[in-house]
Amino acid sequence: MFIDFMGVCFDQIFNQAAKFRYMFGGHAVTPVVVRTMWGAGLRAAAQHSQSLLSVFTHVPGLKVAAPSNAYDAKGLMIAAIRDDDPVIFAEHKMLYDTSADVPEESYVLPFGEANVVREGGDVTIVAIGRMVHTALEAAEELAGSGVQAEIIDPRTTSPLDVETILESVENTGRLVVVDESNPRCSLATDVAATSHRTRSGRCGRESSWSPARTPRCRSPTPRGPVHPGRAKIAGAVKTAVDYAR
Amino acid sequence: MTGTLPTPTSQELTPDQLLDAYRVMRTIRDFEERVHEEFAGGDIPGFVHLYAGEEASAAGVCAHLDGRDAIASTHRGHGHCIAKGVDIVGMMAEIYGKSTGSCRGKGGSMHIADLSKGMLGANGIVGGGPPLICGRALASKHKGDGGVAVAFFGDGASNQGTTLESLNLATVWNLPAIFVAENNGYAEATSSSWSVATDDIADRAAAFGMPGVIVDGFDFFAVHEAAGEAVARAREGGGPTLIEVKFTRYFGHFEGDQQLYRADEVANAREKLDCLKRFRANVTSGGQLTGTQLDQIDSEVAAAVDEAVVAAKAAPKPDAADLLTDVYVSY
Repeated sequence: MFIDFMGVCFDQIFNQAAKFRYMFGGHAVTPVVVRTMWGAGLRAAAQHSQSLLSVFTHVPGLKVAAPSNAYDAKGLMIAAIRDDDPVIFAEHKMLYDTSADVPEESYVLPFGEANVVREGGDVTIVAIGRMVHTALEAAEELAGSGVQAEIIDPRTTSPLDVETILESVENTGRLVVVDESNPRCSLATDVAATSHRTRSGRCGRESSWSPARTPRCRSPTPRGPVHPGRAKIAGAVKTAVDYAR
Repeated sequence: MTGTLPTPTSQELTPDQLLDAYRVMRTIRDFEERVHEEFAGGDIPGFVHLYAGEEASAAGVCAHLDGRDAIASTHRGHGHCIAKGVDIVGMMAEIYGKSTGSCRGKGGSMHIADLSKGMLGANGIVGGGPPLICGRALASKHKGDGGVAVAFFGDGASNQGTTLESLNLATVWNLPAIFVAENNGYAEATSSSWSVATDDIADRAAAFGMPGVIVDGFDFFAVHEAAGEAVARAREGGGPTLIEVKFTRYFGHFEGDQQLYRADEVANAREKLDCLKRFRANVTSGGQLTGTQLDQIDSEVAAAVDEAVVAAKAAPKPDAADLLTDVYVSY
Protein backbone atom coordinates (compact mmCIF):
# COMPACT_ATOMS: atom_id res chain seq x y z
CA MET A 1 0.00 0.00 0.00
CA PHE A 2 1.06 3.63 -0.35
CA ILE A 3 3.99 4.55 1.89
CA ASP A 4 1.96 7.62 2.85
CA PHE A 5 -0.40 5.31 4.79
CA MET A 6 2.32 3.91 7.02
CA GLY A 7 1.42 6.43 9.68
CA VAL A 8 -1.65 4.46 10.68
CA CYS A 9 0.42 1.37 11.50
CA PHE A 10 3.69 2.97 12.42
CA ASP A 11 3.67 1.76 16.01
CA GLN A 12 3.67 -1.86 14.86
CA ILE A 13 6.62 -1.13 12.57
CA PHE A 14 8.94 1.08 14.58
CA ASN A 15 8.06 0.31 18.20
CA GLN A 16 7.20 -3.37 17.90
CA ALA A 17 8.76 -5.13 14.90
CA ALA A 18 11.94 -3.04 14.77
CA LYS A 19 12.69 -3.36 18.48
CA PHE A 20 11.70 -6.90 19.50
CA ARG A 21 15.11 -8.40 18.88
CA TYR A 22 16.95 -5.71 20.78
CA MET A 23 14.52 -5.32 23.68
CA PHE A 24 14.23 -9.07 24.18
CA GLY A 25 17.99 -9.52 24.37
CA GLY A 26 18.44 -11.24 21.02
CA HIS A 27 15.84 -13.92 21.75
CA ALA A 28 13.36 -12.78 19.07
CA VAL A 29 13.32 -12.76 15.29
CA THR A 30 10.79 -10.71 13.34
CA PRO A 31 10.98 -12.01 9.76
CA VAL A 32 8.38 -9.71 8.22
CA VAL A 33 8.45 -7.99 4.82
CA VAL A 34 6.28 -4.90 4.40
CA ARG A 35 5.71 -4.03 0.74
CA THR A 36 4.95 -0.39 0.08
CA MET A 37 4.59 1.92 -2.90
CA TRP A 38 6.47 5.21 -2.91
CA GLY A 39 7.39 8.22 -4.96
CA ALA A 40 5.82 10.99 -6.97
CA GLY A 41 4.86 11.03 -10.62
CA LEU A 42 1.17 10.17 -10.82
CA ARG A 43 0.06 13.66 -9.81
CA ALA A 44 -1.75 11.95 -6.94
CA ALA A 45 -1.35 14.90 -4.56
CA ALA A 46 0.22 15.26 -1.14
CA GLN A 47 -1.01 12.06 0.56
CA HIS A 48 -0.19 9.58 -2.22
CA SER A 49 3.17 10.80 -3.53
CA GLN A 50 5.71 10.89 -0.74
CA SER A 51 9.21 9.45 -0.65
CA LEU A 52 9.57 8.51 3.01
CA LEU A 53 12.47 6.07 2.77
CA SER A 54 14.53 8.16 5.16
CA VAL A 55 11.89 7.80 7.88
CA PHE A 56 12.38 4.03 7.90
CA THR A 57 16.12 4.20 7.24
CA HIS A 58 16.38 6.24 10.43
CA VAL A 59 15.02 3.44 12.63
CA PRO A 60 17.53 0.87 13.93
CA GLY A 61 16.18 -2.63 13.50
CA LEU A 62 14.59 -2.01 10.11
CA LYS A 63 16.10 -2.77 6.73
CA VAL A 64 15.01 -0.79 3.69
CA ALA A 65 15.16 -1.88 0.06
CA ALA A 66 14.16 0.27 -2.91
CA PRO A 67 14.80 -1.48 -6.24
CA SER A 68 15.15 0.54 -9.42
CA ASN A 69 14.25 -2.21 -11.88
CA ALA A 70 12.47 -5.56 -12.18
CA TYR A 71 15.65 -7.66 -12.05
CA ASP A 72 16.73 -6.05 -8.79
CA ALA A 73 13.20 -6.24 -7.43
CA LYS A 74 13.12 -10.03 -7.73
CA GLY A 75 16.58 -10.56 -6.25
CA LEU A 76 16.01 -8.13 -3.41
CA MET A 77 12.54 -9.51 -2.64
CA ILE A 78 13.87 -13.06 -2.33
CA ALA A 79 16.63 -11.74 -0.07
CA ALA A 80 14.04 -9.85 1.98
CA ILE A 81 11.82 -12.90 2.44
CA ARG A 82 14.78 -15.04 3.51
CA ASP A 83 15.98 -12.34 5.91
CA ASP A 84 15.13 -12.75 9.60
CA ASP A 85 14.96 -8.99 10.18
CA PRO A 86 11.97 -6.77 9.35
CA VAL A 87 12.28 -5.28 5.86
CA ILE A 88 10.50 -2.29 4.36
CA PHE A 89 10.34 -3.11 0.65
CA ALA A 90 9.70 0.15 -1.16
CA GLU A 91 8.54 -0.11 -4.77
CA HIS A 92 8.50 3.10 -6.77
CA LYS A 93 5.07 3.44 -8.32
CA MET A 94 6.43 4.84 -11.59
CA LEU A 95 8.55 1.72 -12.19
CA TYR A 96 5.74 -0.85 -12.33
CA ASP A 97 5.41 -0.30 -16.07
CA THR A 98 9.10 -0.70 -16.81
CA SER A 99 10.56 -4.01 -17.98
CA ALA A 100 13.88 -5.80 -17.61
CA ASP A 101 15.30 -9.25 -18.31
CA VAL A 102 14.29 -11.34 -15.30
CA PRO A 103 15.43 -14.97 -15.09
CA GLU A 104 12.86 -17.61 -14.20
CA GLU A 105 15.09 -19.17 -11.56
CA SER A 106 15.52 -17.93 -8.03
CA TYR A 107 18.40 -15.58 -7.26
CA VAL A 108 19.34 -13.29 -4.43
CA LEU A 109 20.76 -9.78 -4.45
CA PRO A 110 22.35 -9.27 -1.02
CA PHE A 111 21.32 -6.20 0.96
CA GLY A 112 23.99 -3.53 1.30
CA GLU A 113 25.57 -4.11 -2.13
CA ALA A 114 25.23 -1.15 -4.46
CA ASN A 115 25.04 -1.48 -8.23
CA VAL A 116 27.33 0.64 -10.39
CA VAL A 117 24.80 1.34 -13.11
CA ARG A 118 27.11 3.44 -15.30
CA GLU A 119 30.85 3.96 -15.15
CA GLY A 120 32.48 7.36 -15.49
CA GLY A 121 35.49 9.24 -14.16
CA ASP A 122 34.31 12.82 -13.72
CA VAL A 123 31.50 12.76 -11.19
CA THR A 124 29.71 10.25 -8.94
CA ILE A 125 25.92 10.33 -8.97
CA VAL A 126 24.10 8.37 -6.26
CA ALA A 127 20.46 7.79 -7.13
CA ILE A 128 17.79 5.37 -5.99
CA GLY A 129 14.49 4.07 -7.35
CA ARG A 130 13.09 6.04 -10.23
CA MET A 131 15.87 8.61 -9.97
CA VAL A 132 18.35 6.03 -11.30
CA HIS A 133 16.63 6.28 -14.68
CA THR A 134 16.48 10.06 -14.58
CA ALA A 135 20.15 10.19 -13.65
CA LEU A 136 20.97 7.94 -16.64
CA GLU A 137 19.20 10.37 -18.94
CA ALA A 138 21.16 13.25 -17.44
CA ALA A 139 24.41 11.30 -17.80
CA GLU A 140 23.81 10.83 -21.50
CA GLU A 141 23.24 14.56 -21.86
CA LEU A 142 26.38 15.34 -19.87
CA ALA A 143 28.44 12.94 -21.98
CA GLY A 144 27.65 15.18 -24.94
CA SER A 145 29.52 17.99 -23.20
CA GLY A 146 32.44 15.79 -22.21
CA VAL A 147 31.46 14.98 -18.62
CA GLN A 148 31.41 11.25 -17.77
CA ALA A 149 29.18 10.45 -14.81
CA GLU A 150 29.40 7.29 -12.71
CA ILE A 151 25.96 6.32 -11.42
CA ILE A 152 25.56 4.26 -8.27
CA ASP A 153 22.26 2.69 -7.23
CA PRO A 154 22.56 1.70 -3.54
CA ARG A 155 19.53 -0.66 -3.92
CA THR A 156 19.12 -0.63 -0.13
CA THR A 157 19.29 2.41 2.11
CA SER A 158 19.63 0.26 5.23
CA PRO A 159 22.19 -1.19 5.11
CA LEU A 160 23.88 1.36 2.86
CA ASP A 161 26.92 0.41 0.78
CA VAL A 162 29.11 3.36 1.76
CA GLU A 163 32.25 1.61 0.51
CA THR A 164 31.18 1.52 -3.13
CA ILE A 165 30.17 5.17 -3.01
CA LEU A 166 33.49 6.17 -1.43
CA GLU A 167 35.53 4.18 -3.92
CA SER A 168 33.82 6.01 -6.74
CA VAL A 169 34.24 9.42 -5.11
CA GLU A 170 37.93 8.70 -4.50
CA ASN A 171 38.21 8.38 -8.26
CA THR A 172 35.96 11.21 -9.42
CA GLY A 173 36.40 13.71 -6.58
CA ARG A 174 32.81 14.86 -7.01
CA LEU A 175 29.51 13.60 -5.59
CA VAL A 176 25.94 14.44 -6.57
CA VAL A 177 23.10 12.74 -4.69
CA VAL A 178 19.75 12.61 -6.48
CA ASP A 179 16.78 12.27 -4.16
CA GLU A 180 13.10 12.99 -4.65
CA SER A 181 12.34 13.14 -0.94
CA ASN A 182 12.04 16.25 1.22
CA PRO A 183 15.28 18.19 1.58
CA ARG A 184 15.83 17.99 5.37
CA CYS A 185 17.08 14.74 6.95
CA SER A 186 16.82 12.97 3.63
CA LEU A 187 18.69 10.25 1.81
CA ALA A 188 20.54 13.04 0.01
CA THR A 189 21.73 14.73 3.20
CA ASP A 190 22.58 11.36 4.73
CA VAL A 191 24.62 10.02 1.82
CA ALA A 192 26.38 13.35 1.37
CA ALA A 193 27.21 13.70 5.06
CA THR A 194 28.18 10.04 5.55
CA SER A 195 30.44 10.06 2.51
CA HIS A 196 32.01 13.36 3.47
CA ARG A 197 32.56 12.38 7.09
CA THR A 198 33.94 8.95 6.33
CA ARG A 199 36.29 10.25 3.66
CA SER A 200 37.47 13.12 5.87
CA GLY A 201 38.12 10.68 8.67
CA ARG A 202 40.23 8.48 6.46
CA CYS A 203 42.24 11.35 5.00
CA GLY A 204 42.70 13.00 8.40
CA ARG A 205 41.63 16.31 6.90
CA GLU A 206 38.63 18.00 5.38
CA SER A 207 37.63 16.72 1.97
CA SER A 208 38.61 18.86 -0.93
CA TRP A 209 35.26 18.32 -2.58
CA SER A 210 31.74 19.39 -1.80
CA PRO A 211 28.71 17.19 -2.32
CA ALA A 212 25.72 18.62 -4.15
CA ARG A 213 22.15 17.53 -3.53
CA THR A 214 19.07 17.69 -5.68
CA PRO A 215 16.08 17.22 -3.41
CA ARG A 216 12.73 18.55 -4.40
CA CYS A 217 11.31 21.74 -2.90
CA ARG A 218 10.32 22.04 0.74
CA SER A 219 6.54 21.64 0.74
CA PRO A 220 4.00 18.83 0.77
CA THR A 221 4.27 17.03 -2.56
CA PRO A 222 2.34 19.15 -5.09
CA ARG A 223 0.38 17.65 -7.94
CA GLY A 224 2.74 19.08 -10.51
CA PRO A 225 6.25 17.86 -11.41
CA VAL A 226 8.72 18.96 -8.75
CA HIS A 227 10.92 15.89 -8.35
CA PRO A 228 14.42 16.19 -9.77
CA GLY A 229 14.48 16.01 -13.55
CA ARG A 230 17.24 15.51 -16.08
CA ALA A 231 18.02 19.22 -16.32
CA LYS A 232 18.23 19.71 -12.56
CA ILE A 233 20.61 16.78 -12.19
CA ALA A 234 22.77 18.00 -15.06
CA GLY A 235 22.85 21.45 -13.47
CA ALA A 236 23.97 20.01 -10.12
CA VAL A 237 26.69 18.01 -11.84
CA LYS A 238 27.96 21.07 -13.64
CA THR A 239 28.04 22.96 -10.35
CA ALA A 240 30.08 20.16 -8.78
CA VAL A 241 32.44 19.99 -11.73
CA ASP A 242 32.97 23.73 -11.68
CA TYR A 243 33.53 23.71 -7.89
CA ALA A 244 36.31 21.18 -8.01
CA ARG A 245 37.91 22.36 -11.23
CA MET B 1 -24.41 -9.64 24.78
CA THR B 2 -22.76 -7.84 27.66
CA GLY B 3 -23.53 -9.41 30.99
CA THR B 4 -22.32 -10.00 34.50
CA LEU B 5 -21.82 -13.60 35.49
CA PRO B 6 -23.07 -15.03 38.79
CA THR B 7 -20.24 -15.38 41.30
CA PRO B 8 -18.80 -18.88 40.98
CA THR B 9 -17.14 -20.80 43.76
CA SER B 10 -14.07 -22.89 44.20
CA GLN B 11 -15.97 -26.18 43.94
CA GLU B 12 -15.06 -26.82 40.33
CA LEU B 13 -11.28 -26.69 40.74
CA THR B 14 -9.10 -29.48 42.10
CA PRO B 15 -6.98 -28.83 45.18
CA ASP B 16 -3.86 -28.78 43.00
CA GLN B 17 -5.39 -26.19 40.69
CA LEU B 18 -6.34 -24.09 43.69
CA LEU B 19 -2.85 -24.33 45.13
CA ASP B 20 -1.34 -23.34 41.79
CA ALA B 21 -3.64 -20.35 41.48
CA TYR B 22 -2.86 -19.18 44.99
CA ARG B 23 0.87 -19.59 44.41
CA VAL B 24 0.68 -17.47 41.26
CA MET B 25 -1.26 -14.69 42.98
CA ARG B 26 0.93 -14.75 46.07
CA THR B 27 4.08 -14.68 43.92
CA ILE B 28 2.81 -11.65 42.02
CA ARG B 29 1.88 -9.85 45.23
CA ASP B 30 5.18 -10.52 46.94
CA PHE B 31 7.16 -9.74 43.81
CA GLU B 32 5.45 -6.38 43.40
CA GLU B 33 5.59 -5.44 47.08
CA ARG B 34 9.29 -6.18 47.01
CA VAL B 35 9.92 -4.21 43.80
CA HIS B 36 8.07 -1.32 45.46
CA GLU B 37 10.50 -1.45 48.38
CA GLU B 38 13.60 -1.96 46.27
CA PHE B 39 12.73 0.77 43.78
CA ALA B 40 12.69 3.27 46.62
CA GLY B 41 16.30 2.28 47.27
CA GLY B 42 17.31 3.79 43.93
CA ASP B 43 19.12 0.80 42.40
CA ILE B 44 16.45 -0.02 39.81
CA PRO B 45 16.78 1.95 36.56
CA GLY B 46 13.90 3.33 34.52
CA PHE B 47 10.21 3.06 35.31
CA VAL B 48 8.25 0.35 37.07
CA HIS B 49 4.47 -0.04 37.10
CA LEU B 50 3.18 -2.46 39.70
CA TYR B 51 0.36 -5.00 39.33
CA ALA B 52 -0.49 -5.50 43.03
CA GLY B 53 -4.26 -5.67 43.54
CA GLU B 54 -4.85 -7.05 40.04
CA GLU B 55 -3.48 -10.57 40.60
CA ALA B 56 -6.78 -12.39 40.05
CA SER B 57 -6.90 -11.27 36.44
CA ALA B 58 -3.56 -12.67 35.32
CA ALA B 59 -3.98 -15.80 37.45
CA GLY B 60 -7.60 -16.43 36.51
CA VAL B 61 -6.97 -16.11 32.77
CA CYS B 62 -3.60 -17.83 32.53
CA ALA B 63 -4.84 -20.83 34.55
CA HIS B 64 -6.56 -21.89 31.31
CA LEU B 65 -3.53 -21.46 29.08
CA ASP B 66 -0.84 -23.95 28.11
CA GLY B 67 2.22 -24.16 25.88
CA ARG B 68 0.20 -23.58 22.72
CA ASP B 69 -1.01 -20.23 23.91
CA ALA B 70 0.49 -16.76 23.98
CA ILE B 71 -0.20 -13.53 25.81
CA ALA B 72 0.62 -9.90 25.12
CA SER B 73 0.93 -7.56 28.04
CA THR B 74 1.28 -3.94 29.05
CA HIS B 75 3.63 -1.58 30.84
CA ARG B 76 2.14 -3.15 34.00
CA GLY B 77 3.33 -6.58 32.95
CA HIS B 78 5.04 -8.35 35.86
CA GLY B 79 1.88 -10.18 36.90
CA HIS B 80 1.17 -11.44 33.41
CA CYS B 81 4.73 -12.72 33.11
CA ILE B 82 4.52 -14.61 36.39
CA ALA B 83 1.11 -16.08 35.58
CA LYS B 84 2.40 -17.32 32.20
CA GLY B 85 5.32 -19.05 33.87
CA VAL B 86 8.24 -16.68 33.34
CA ASP B 87 11.03 -17.33 35.84
CA ILE B 88 11.08 -14.67 38.56
CA VAL B 89 14.85 -14.83 38.94
CA GLY B 90 15.29 -13.73 35.32
CA MET B 91 12.50 -11.18 35.73
CA MET B 92 14.01 -9.54 38.78
CA ALA B 93 17.44 -9.42 37.16
CA GLU B 94 15.85 -7.84 34.09
CA ILE B 95 14.22 -5.16 36.21
CA TYR B 96 17.63 -4.45 37.73
CA GLY B 97 19.13 -4.25 34.24
CA LYS B 98 21.50 -7.17 34.76
CA SER B 99 23.01 -9.45 32.13
CA THR B 100 21.28 -12.48 33.69
CA GLY B 101 17.85 -10.93 33.03
CA SER B 102 15.14 -12.44 30.86
CA CYS B 103 16.23 -10.07 28.08
CA ARG B 104 19.88 -9.82 29.14
CA GLY B 105 19.11 -6.49 30.78
CA LYS B 106 18.19 -4.70 27.59
CA GLY B 107 14.45 -4.54 28.10
CA GLY B 108 13.79 -3.77 31.74
CA SER B 109 10.45 -3.78 33.50
CA MET B 110 8.43 -2.64 30.48
CA HIS B 111 9.81 -5.21 28.05
CA ILE B 112 10.15 -8.47 29.96
CA ALA B 113 9.47 -11.27 27.50
CA ASP B 114 9.93 -15.02 27.30
CA LEU B 115 8.88 -16.26 23.89
CA SER B 116 9.56 -19.86 24.94
CA LYS B 117 6.75 -19.46 27.47
CA GLY B 118 4.39 -17.74 25.03
CA MET B 119 4.91 -14.43 26.79
CA LEU B 120 5.16 -11.94 23.93
CA GLY B 121 6.43 -9.14 26.07
CA ALA B 122 5.34 -6.47 28.44
CA ASN B 123 4.85 -3.45 26.21
CA GLY B 124 5.74 0.19 26.67
CA ILE B 125 3.11 1.31 24.18
CA VAL B 126 -0.48 1.71 25.38
CA GLY B 127 -2.51 -0.39 22.94
CA GLY B 128 0.58 -2.19 21.65
CA GLY B 129 -0.58 -5.68 22.60
CA PRO B 130 -3.93 -6.22 20.85
CA PRO B 131 -2.49 -6.10 17.29
CA LEU B 132 0.21 -8.57 18.32
CA ILE B 133 -2.25 -11.20 19.48
CA CYS B 134 -4.25 -10.89 16.27
CA GLY B 135 -1.11 -11.98 14.45
CA ARG B 136 -0.39 -14.75 16.91
CA ALA B 137 -4.00 -15.97 16.84
CA LEU B 138 -4.02 -15.91 13.05
CA ALA B 139 -0.86 -18.02 13.04
CA SER B 140 -2.46 -20.55 15.41
CA LYS B 141 -5.59 -20.66 13.28
CA HIS B 142 -3.60 -21.36 10.11
CA LYS B 143 -1.40 -23.93 11.82
CA GLY B 144 -4.41 -25.59 13.43
CA ASP B 145 -2.46 -26.01 16.67
CA GLY B 146 -5.40 -25.16 18.92
CA GLY B 147 -3.58 -22.21 20.42
CA VAL B 148 -5.32 -19.10 21.67
CA ALA B 149 -3.82 -15.65 22.13
CA VAL B 150 -4.71 -13.24 24.91
CA ALA B 151 -4.11 -9.51 25.11
CA PHE B 152 -4.20 -7.88 28.52
CA PHE B 153 -4.65 -4.13 28.26
CA GLY B 154 -5.88 -1.28 30.40
CA ASP B 155 -8.83 1.07 30.35
CA GLY B 156 -6.63 3.67 28.66
CA ALA B 157 -5.69 1.25 25.90
CA SER B 158 -9.36 0.41 25.42
CA ASN B 159 -9.69 3.86 23.83
CA GLN B 160 -6.76 3.38 21.46
CA GLY B 161 -7.33 2.84 17.76
CA THR B 162 -5.06 -0.17 17.73
CA THR B 163 -7.30 -1.90 20.26
CA LEU B 164 -10.52 -1.13 18.42
CA GLU B 165 -9.02 -2.17 15.08
CA SER B 166 -7.87 -5.42 16.67
CA LEU B 167 -11.33 -6.16 18.05
CA ASN B 168 -12.73 -5.69 14.58
CA LEU B 169 -10.08 -7.80 12.91
CA ALA B 170 -10.48 -10.60 15.45
CA THR B 171 -14.13 -10.98 14.52
CA VAL B 172 -13.57 -10.51 10.79
CA TRP B 173 -10.95 -13.27 10.84
CA ASN B 174 -12.80 -15.29 13.51
CA LEU B 175 -9.64 -15.52 15.57
CA PRO B 176 -8.95 -17.55 18.71
CA ALA B 177 -8.27 -14.29 20.51
CA ILE B 178 -9.28 -13.01 23.92
CA PHE B 179 -9.16 -9.37 24.91
CA VAL B 180 -8.88 -8.77 28.63
CA ALA B 181 -9.56 -5.13 29.50
CA GLU B 182 -8.10 -4.59 32.95
CA ASN B 183 -10.03 -1.57 34.16
CA ASN B 184 -8.33 -0.27 37.28
CA GLY B 185 -10.13 3.05 37.06
CA TYR B 186 -7.31 5.23 35.82
CA ALA B 187 -5.22 5.61 32.70
CA GLU B 188 -2.21 7.14 34.39
CA ALA B 189 -4.14 9.95 36.15
CA THR B 190 -7.18 10.06 33.88
CA SER B 191 -10.35 8.47 35.25
CA SER B 192 -11.89 5.81 33.02
CA SER B 193 -15.34 7.12 33.98
CA TRP B 194 -14.34 10.27 32.12
CA SER B 195 -12.32 8.83 29.24
CA VAL B 196 -14.35 5.77 28.23
CA ALA B 197 -17.40 6.79 26.20
CA THR B 198 -19.53 3.80 27.16
CA ASP B 199 -20.64 2.91 30.68
CA ASP B 200 -18.52 -0.21 30.56
CA ILE B 201 -15.66 -1.23 28.27
CA ALA B 202 -17.40 -4.57 27.75
CA ASP B 203 -20.28 -2.69 26.07
CA ARG B 204 -18.00 -2.18 23.09
CA ALA B 205 -17.97 -5.90 22.33
CA ALA B 206 -21.42 -5.69 20.75
CA ALA B 207 -20.10 -3.23 18.18
CA PHE B 208 -17.55 -5.80 17.08
CA GLY B 209 -19.87 -8.80 17.09
CA MET B 210 -18.34 -10.64 20.00
CA PRO B 211 -19.45 -11.53 23.54
CA GLY B 212 -18.59 -8.98 26.21
CA VAL B 213 -18.40 -9.91 29.86
CA ILE B 214 -17.84 -7.87 33.03
CA VAL B 215 -16.21 -9.57 35.99
CA ASP B 216 -15.19 -8.59 39.49
CA GLY B 217 -11.44 -8.43 39.23
CA PHE B 218 -10.94 -9.03 42.94
CA ASP B 219 -12.59 -12.43 42.58
CA PHE B 220 -10.29 -15.08 41.15
CA PHE B 221 -13.19 -17.46 40.58
CA ALA B 222 -15.20 -14.92 38.62
CA VAL B 223 -12.27 -14.24 36.33
CA HIS B 224 -11.48 -17.95 36.07
CA GLU B 225 -15.00 -18.82 35.00
CA ALA B 226 -15.32 -16.04 32.42
CA ALA B 227 -11.90 -16.81 30.98
CA GLY B 228 -12.69 -20.51 30.87
CA GLU B 229 -15.72 -19.91 28.70
CA ALA B 230 -13.78 -17.56 26.43
CA VAL B 231 -10.81 -19.90 26.03
CA ALA B 232 -13.06 -22.88 25.31
CA ARG B 233 -14.99 -20.91 22.70
CA ALA B 234 -11.78 -19.70 21.06
CA ARG B 235 -10.25 -23.18 20.95
CA GLU B 236 -13.38 -24.56 19.31
CA GLY B 237 -13.31 -21.95 16.56
CA GLY B 238 -16.03 -19.83 18.13
CA GLY B 239 -14.08 -16.59 17.82
CA PRO B 240 -12.99 -13.82 20.15
CA THR B 241 -14.30 -12.53 23.48
CA LEU B 242 -13.90 -9.24 25.33
CA ILE B 243 -13.65 -9.57 29.10
CA GLU B 244 -13.64 -6.46 31.27
CA VAL B 245 -12.03 -7.00 34.65
CA LYS B 246 -12.74 -4.28 37.19
CA PHE B 247 -10.53 -3.61 40.19
CA THR B 248 -8.18 -1.12 41.83
CA ARG B 249 -4.43 -0.99 41.56
CA TYR B 250 -2.76 -0.78 44.93
CA PHE B 251 0.13 1.41 43.86
CA GLY B 252 0.33 4.46 41.64
CA HIS B 253 0.50 4.43 37.88
CA PHE B 254 4.26 4.25 38.27
CA GLU B 255 6.51 4.17 41.28
CA GLY B 256 6.80 7.80 42.33
CA ASP B 257 3.26 8.71 41.30
CA GLN B 258 1.86 11.04 43.98
CA GLN B 259 -1.69 9.89 43.14
CA LEU B 260 -3.29 13.28 43.70
CA TYR B 261 -6.03 12.27 41.26
CA ARG B 262 -7.67 9.69 43.48
CA ALA B 263 -9.03 9.52 46.98
CA ASP B 264 -7.79 6.80 49.26
CA GLU B 265 -9.72 3.95 47.69
CA VAL B 266 -6.78 1.60 48.06
CA ALA B 267 -7.11 1.10 51.82
CA ASN B 268 -10.69 -0.03 51.43
CA ALA B 269 -9.79 -2.37 48.58
CA ARG B 270 -6.91 -3.90 50.48
CA GLU B 271 -9.08 -4.33 53.56
CA LYS B 272 -12.37 -5.53 52.13
CA LEU B 273 -11.92 -6.65 48.53
CA ASP B 274 -8.43 -8.08 48.25
CA CYS B 275 -8.23 -11.09 45.92
CA LEU B 276 -5.84 -13.06 48.10
CA LYS B 277 -7.95 -12.61 51.23
CA ARG B 278 -11.11 -13.58 49.40
CA PHE B 279 -9.46 -16.59 47.83
CA ARG B 280 -8.21 -17.78 51.18
CA ALA B 281 -11.62 -17.32 52.80
CA ASN B 282 -13.36 -19.09 49.93
CA VAL B 283 -11.19 -22.21 49.78
CA THR B 284 -10.75 -22.63 53.53
CA SER B 285 -14.40 -22.12 54.41
CA GLY B 286 -15.35 -24.61 51.69
CA GLY B 287 -12.83 -27.09 53.02
CA GLN B 288 -10.85 -27.56 49.79
CA LEU B 289 -7.63 -26.27 51.33
CA THR B 290 -6.36 -25.55 54.81
CA GLY B 291 -4.86 -22.35 56.04
CA THR B 292 -1.68 -24.26 56.76
CA GLN B 293 -1.31 -25.22 53.11
CA LEU B 294 -1.64 -21.59 52.09
CA ASP B 295 0.76 -20.45 54.81
CA GLN B 296 3.27 -22.92 53.44
CA ILE B 297 3.00 -21.33 50.01
CA ASP B 298 3.38 -17.89 51.57
CA SER B 299 6.68 -18.97 53.12
CA GLU B 300 7.98 -20.59 49.96
CA VAL B 301 7.08 -17.59 47.83
CA ALA B 302 8.67 -15.12 50.25
CA ALA B 303 11.90 -17.11 50.13
CA ALA B 304 11.81 -17.37 46.33
CA VAL B 305 11.28 -13.64 45.87
CA ASP B 306 14.06 -12.90 48.32
CA GLU B 307 16.40 -15.21 46.43
CA ALA B 308 15.49 -13.45 43.18
CA VAL B 309 16.37 -10.06 44.65
CA VAL B 310 19.65 -11.30 46.12
CA ALA B 311 20.59 -12.90 42.79
CA ALA B 312 19.63 -9.79 40.83
CA LYS B 313 21.72 -7.52 43.01
CA ALA B 314 24.72 -9.83 42.76
CA ALA B 315 24.47 -10.36 39.01
CA PRO B 316 26.84 -8.59 36.63
CA LYS B 317 25.76 -5.67 34.52
CA PRO B 318 25.89 -6.15 30.75
CA ASP B 319 29.13 -5.19 29.06
CA ALA B 320 29.04 -1.80 27.38
CA ALA B 321 29.75 -3.60 24.10
CA ASP B 322 26.45 -5.48 24.46
CA LEU B 323 24.53 -2.23 24.14
CA LEU B 324 24.98 -2.26 20.39
CA THR B 325 24.29 -5.94 19.72
CA ASP B 326 21.02 -7.70 18.88
CA VAL B 327 19.75 -4.83 16.72
CA TYR B 328 19.67 -7.09 13.67
CA VAL B 329 20.04 -10.82 13.06
CA SER B 330 22.50 -9.85 10.31
CA TYR B 331 23.51 -6.50 8.87
